[in-house]
Amino acid sequence: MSERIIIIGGGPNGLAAAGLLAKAGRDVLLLEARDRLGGLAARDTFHEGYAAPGVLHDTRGLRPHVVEALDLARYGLRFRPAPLNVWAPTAAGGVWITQDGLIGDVDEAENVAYAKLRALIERVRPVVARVMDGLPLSPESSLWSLLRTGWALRRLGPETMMELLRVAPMSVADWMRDTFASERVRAALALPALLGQHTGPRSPHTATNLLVQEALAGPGVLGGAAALVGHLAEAAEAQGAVLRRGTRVARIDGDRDGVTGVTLDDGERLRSRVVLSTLDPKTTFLSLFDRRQLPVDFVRDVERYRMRGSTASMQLALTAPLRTAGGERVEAMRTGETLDDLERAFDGLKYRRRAEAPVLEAWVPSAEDPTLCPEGHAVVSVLVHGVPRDLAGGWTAGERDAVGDAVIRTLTRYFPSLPEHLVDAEVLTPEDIEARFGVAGGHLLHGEHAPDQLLFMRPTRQAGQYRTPIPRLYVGGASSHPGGGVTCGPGALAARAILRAKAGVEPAM
Amino acid sequence: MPQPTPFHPRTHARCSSYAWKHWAGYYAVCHYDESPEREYSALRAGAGLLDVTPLYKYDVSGADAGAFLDFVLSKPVSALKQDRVTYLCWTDDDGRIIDDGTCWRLGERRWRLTSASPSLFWLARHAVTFGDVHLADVSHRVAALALQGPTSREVLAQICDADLDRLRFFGLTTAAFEPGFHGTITRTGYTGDLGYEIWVDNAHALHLWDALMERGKHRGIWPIGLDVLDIARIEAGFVLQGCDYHSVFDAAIPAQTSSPLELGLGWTVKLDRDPFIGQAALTREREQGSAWAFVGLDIDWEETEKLYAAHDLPPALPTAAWRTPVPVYRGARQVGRATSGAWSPILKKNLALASVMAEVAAPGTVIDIEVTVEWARCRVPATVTPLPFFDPPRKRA
Repeated sequence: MSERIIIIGGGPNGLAAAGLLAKAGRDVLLLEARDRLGGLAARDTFHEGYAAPGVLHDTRGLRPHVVEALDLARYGLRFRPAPLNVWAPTAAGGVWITQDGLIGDVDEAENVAYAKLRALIERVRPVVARVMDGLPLSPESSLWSLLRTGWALRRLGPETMMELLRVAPMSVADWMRDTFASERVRAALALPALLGQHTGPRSPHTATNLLVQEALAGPGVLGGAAALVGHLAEAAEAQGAVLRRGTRVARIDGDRDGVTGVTLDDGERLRSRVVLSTLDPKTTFLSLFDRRQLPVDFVRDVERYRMRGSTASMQLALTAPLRTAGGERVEAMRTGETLDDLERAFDGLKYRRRAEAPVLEAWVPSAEDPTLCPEGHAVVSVLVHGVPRDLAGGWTAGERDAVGDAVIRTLTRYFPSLPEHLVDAEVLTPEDIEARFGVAGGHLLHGEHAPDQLLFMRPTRQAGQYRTPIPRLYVGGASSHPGGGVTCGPGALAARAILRAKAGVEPAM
Repeated sequence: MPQPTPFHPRTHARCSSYAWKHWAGYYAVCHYDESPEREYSALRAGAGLLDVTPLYKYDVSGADAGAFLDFVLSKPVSALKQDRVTYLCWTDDDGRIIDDGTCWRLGERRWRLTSASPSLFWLARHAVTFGDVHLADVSHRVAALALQGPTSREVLAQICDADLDRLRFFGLTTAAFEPGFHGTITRTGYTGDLGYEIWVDNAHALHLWDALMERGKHRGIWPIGLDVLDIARIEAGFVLQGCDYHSVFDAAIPAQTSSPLELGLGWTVKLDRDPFIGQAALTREREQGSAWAFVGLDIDWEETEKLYAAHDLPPALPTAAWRTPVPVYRGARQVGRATSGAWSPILKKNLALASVMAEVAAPGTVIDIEVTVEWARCRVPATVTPLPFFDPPRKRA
């Protein structure tokens, strides 16, 4: 059998794995169903002359060890000098969240609180990074690796450790209320903990999501996720990986004795010794593999894995950039002025209804990448929280338009001239995201980030170390540790697991 | 609280012993009179009538029902011919047995499954992934009687229009019954004898009972309880869940589970087909051989007699079957356990069913079984015997 490794899915994780495996001397063939690479971070033209750089915006979580191992700087990767300033607007002007603190309609005490929060995050950063950048710890991990992580925690000191233990199970709303007096600040900082997920600010453990996200955050990639995809692809090809676009896998071949390759939708069979799927587990195991070959308990775990898409994506083509009433250029913003606004967006989700007032995180990628639209114009890319995959009554064109109208209504509140500048817009409901990107449930993170779906339990216990019940079939997408978002972490760790197995070494857990 | 079966007014009226037990949530008669001997004689010489309503019954239908059942069960029932019944089992992913029962082919897209223990949750868990599959638990709607014994065909022929001479062993037919209702007859049973099981809607239960008792009274019909059934099934070499094996779901530790191959049910397992639950593990076990085997034991009578004689006692045997496992030995080494046994009145033999290590499973091998005489543990020789012990030609004729 060929020693070839086939990677299914050309998103950031697939590309990172391709680069790392090729760099280790493996014969790598990556298969991407769409005509372009990038997965949820792929650049798509949505109106002639206007392109959006993917659905996922946030590249702050990109893992430095991947950048280093693939030498991405050599292929043009540049980090932003500082994170984007995020505008949290109100009718009165709102607050700017910047590297140097909160600016605008807040008093000094809020800035002290913010500085303390940042300090806590900086203190836990090394421990979080250590857990997230290694193969997932589990009850079967060696005593040595458990001790080392335990020791790293211990070294935080009793105060920080107590604070970590206190915050981890909390809801992000409770944590933010503890920390800040300004409702506007609370809501603005809480939103990223919810985006993509089936949660509201008062759901338990959402504080952990925020803490981990912030502790892993760097400045972000200049040009955003689409730029990163280009660098990753270049690096992988330079290492000898073959990246085939427009190649849809119809079936993963094999049985309990092991994987043998894949069959494409045109009937072509590609044999390989190892297959790495970066797709979500429902697609990998329930759609592409013969589920009857899998242990029934494993199938049950995969069925139970929660990935209910809750967030839509919208791209707007504008003839002018976004500016505040004061004339400041906006590159990133978050709506939802109060925690109640955020909770109300979740209320709809619970009952499979579309939120009447969804909360938005908007980003203006054209500010960094002028090739996305005509000069002087703008592309705005929006994540719309509060849009259920399984809308009661089902999705129709009218329902999709209603999502777009709600977004425009919300944005117009802060940018009154926006309708005059609007050229065109595209709404992708979770159902559209599922259809276009092949993600079950249209879930932007390939599954909820919840305590029972993280670390060695992501996506399931039996597949929590990138291996699966089928020998030589691996998983390494966002539904593996350390989880969703543009991090390249899962792909890189899956590559590590494959290389260790190849070397005859059981992965150190 | 256990429930009465639809036959309860009749069984209760006759049960002068008041010996009842709980069976799957129902009251069931152990023996009607003080001694089960008359019931045993009816079963092997006339026709025994047993209320088997407590069996679990599931109707499975739909375009994907065949594929679903093939995936769950030990043999592919999509290939089962219409109006045929088959005996089989089902296992978990490790090839350890969950339950055994029968599967009936009722139509192009319709089957019925019977089981000893509740199985709906297991079936439902897998059915959801198979598209068009409908599961219905009809356990509480369908009343059932087993009519077993040499005159059972004659008796049954008196009250229904079915062509029983053409109903083959493990065949199935619908029939119109004399009192004016319809039901299903399967030529199946748990006694190893000529016999039938009759399945009707609860509403017709008492009419069915009365008709059989009335028209069978000159043909040796007699109600029997579970004690006699237990002797009969041991003579027939049939395993009993909770006694000779434990379902995966009841076992406290893996060592308490069994595979179908270890239980002598290898013939119900078809390995070479589309994937099904337990296939990989059972394939491996068949290649490598099973560690355990299920055998019959013929316990030496004269040696047993001697043990009692040493105490100046005549040999004492219980009139009912026993179900307390006892160790069996080869020399000084324990090589397994006998899980149930009974004195067979028809064979005049002291019989047991046992799980033994594969190396002592060959017929003719003599091992020792533990017996307790006057509070002292003793051993008597027992000869490994092929199953069934009792297999009259009339069963299939």
